[in-house]
Amino acid sequence: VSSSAGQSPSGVRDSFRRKSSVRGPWLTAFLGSLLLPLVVLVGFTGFMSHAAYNPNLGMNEIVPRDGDLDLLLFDWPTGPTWLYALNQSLHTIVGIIVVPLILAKLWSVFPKLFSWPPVRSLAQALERLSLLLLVGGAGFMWATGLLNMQLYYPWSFNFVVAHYYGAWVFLGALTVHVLTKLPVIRAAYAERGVLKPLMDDVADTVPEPHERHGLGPKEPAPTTISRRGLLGLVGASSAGLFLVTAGQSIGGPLRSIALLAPRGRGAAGGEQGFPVNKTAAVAEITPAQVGPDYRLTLNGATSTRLTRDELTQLPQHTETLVIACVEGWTTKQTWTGVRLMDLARMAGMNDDQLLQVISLQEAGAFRQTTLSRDQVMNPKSLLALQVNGEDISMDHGFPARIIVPAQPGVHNTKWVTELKLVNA
Amino acid sequence: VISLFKRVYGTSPLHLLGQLVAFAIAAYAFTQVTKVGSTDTKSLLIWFIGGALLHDLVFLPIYVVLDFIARHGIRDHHPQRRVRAINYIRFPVAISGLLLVTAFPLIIGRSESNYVRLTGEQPPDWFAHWLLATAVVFGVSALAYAVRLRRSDPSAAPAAARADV
Repeated sequence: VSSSAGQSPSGVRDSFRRKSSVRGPWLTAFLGSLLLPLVVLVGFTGFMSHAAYNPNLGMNEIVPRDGDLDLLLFDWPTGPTWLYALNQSLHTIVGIIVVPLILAKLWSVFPKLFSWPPVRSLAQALERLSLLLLVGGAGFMWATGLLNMQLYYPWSFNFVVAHYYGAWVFLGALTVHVLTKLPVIRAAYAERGVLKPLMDDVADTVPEPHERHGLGPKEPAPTTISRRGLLGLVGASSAGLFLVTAGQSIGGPLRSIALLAPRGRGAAGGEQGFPVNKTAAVAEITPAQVGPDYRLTLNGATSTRLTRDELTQLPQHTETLVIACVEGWTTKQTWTGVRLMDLARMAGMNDDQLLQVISLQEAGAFRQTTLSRDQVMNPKSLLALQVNGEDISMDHGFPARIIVPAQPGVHNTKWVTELKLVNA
Repeated sequence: VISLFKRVYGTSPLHLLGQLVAFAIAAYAFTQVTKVGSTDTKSLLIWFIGGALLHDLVFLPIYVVLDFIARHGIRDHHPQRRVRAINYIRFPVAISGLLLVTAFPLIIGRSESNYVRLTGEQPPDWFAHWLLATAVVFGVSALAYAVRLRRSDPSAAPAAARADV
């Protein structure tokens, strides 16, 4: 394999000094060109998810509203019903499969870390500092995102707030980085062609020159992999990550091979055959609260209290809707219950009012949700009493939960005790 | 004036403006996130700086050492066949390693307590799942290597000498 078979200390040192023969401006430019659209997609779907929580309504905000950039918010649509599932599947799946590409990109520019002298000009010093924002931002976003999906939170800050503002830091630094490096990228493609270096196999691989950018190897190690081989390594790693994780979002046969997804193969089927995000025990719902004394309060111009039996006497509708968690997993079930619009009308909803949905749960960010008028008036939006033909179980929100098309899973409030009209 | 600026700063004013935009956005984000009561600034900075160093100080030394071992430890038994073993080792090691890096909370049991608390059920054995996935990728790679070796056997079928990966 290697021509330097020496195992002497000098041979070892020599082996570590020699750098990969495939590193260089072209490789970095090409990896960056693949990475950019994927990262933009992850960023875009991230901001879409933020908007999907309708943080400008009622008490929905998690990121404090005065610091939120309202320009990017809009009334999140209620259709197509799989919109939020698609958004979060893209955010999490692309976020995962892009990891090998990010690592390859960082590997390709590693020699720059030790460029000497470390600072040649004020411009370079500033650029290195902004690269700290870029690389630190990437590390922060991917580490917190991946860990949050796996229900592991070894930090002392609010994930949602930090992940939201981290995105600004990362995407701001990324934009400046791409614009700064455009001439280098153009030059690399002009010099070597955009795809031509992919044609070379191991024997034909000629190292890119070390001069000018310092990315190419000063003393190339013997070539053991071609540039397309390295891209194949990245692609195979991404494919591997896809196969063992994407099933929790996409479902079907992929779910059975989702070996390393929190809601993939072998994960708790949950009561009634689909995953429970949070049990009634965690939410501290007591049997007494959901017993014969349970009443749903409709609070509007007047106040009405309905028993569960009375709710079942109202016109019932059935809809098959997907619930998608912000963490990327999805589940599609058939729900039966009363249309939210019927209940809102019973309470006397005006054109300029919103509906606040309140849970029996006494603590937690998602013990209440405020729905937009469009969400309430969508004929598919239900106060669900049954799922797949049987009463909803305790852990899925008995006596009643809401299900609204295309909204984030946790906004489908469980154990609903009150529907309250509030002014917009 | 521009040339004086270039001499002092190192490049065009546009470059300076761009960098300042990145710093201003970061500073804005930092003031907003630290305003939130639940934010522990020290924890935030540790994760941010740690994120910047993770690749270069943790992952890269691992690649370098693994690659050194691979380059010096793997001898091809059939050098005349022009099929090198090293990439048939690199691929499954990289895939299995990436699965471990991205899903370590599941694999080493860091997710378990929250999983049990929130869902009320026992999680699957994700460590076993990782071992299974690792076995599959090494198996696929071994199969691919065997096929390539056979195809390039000069004493067997008259397959044309094929270029390497």
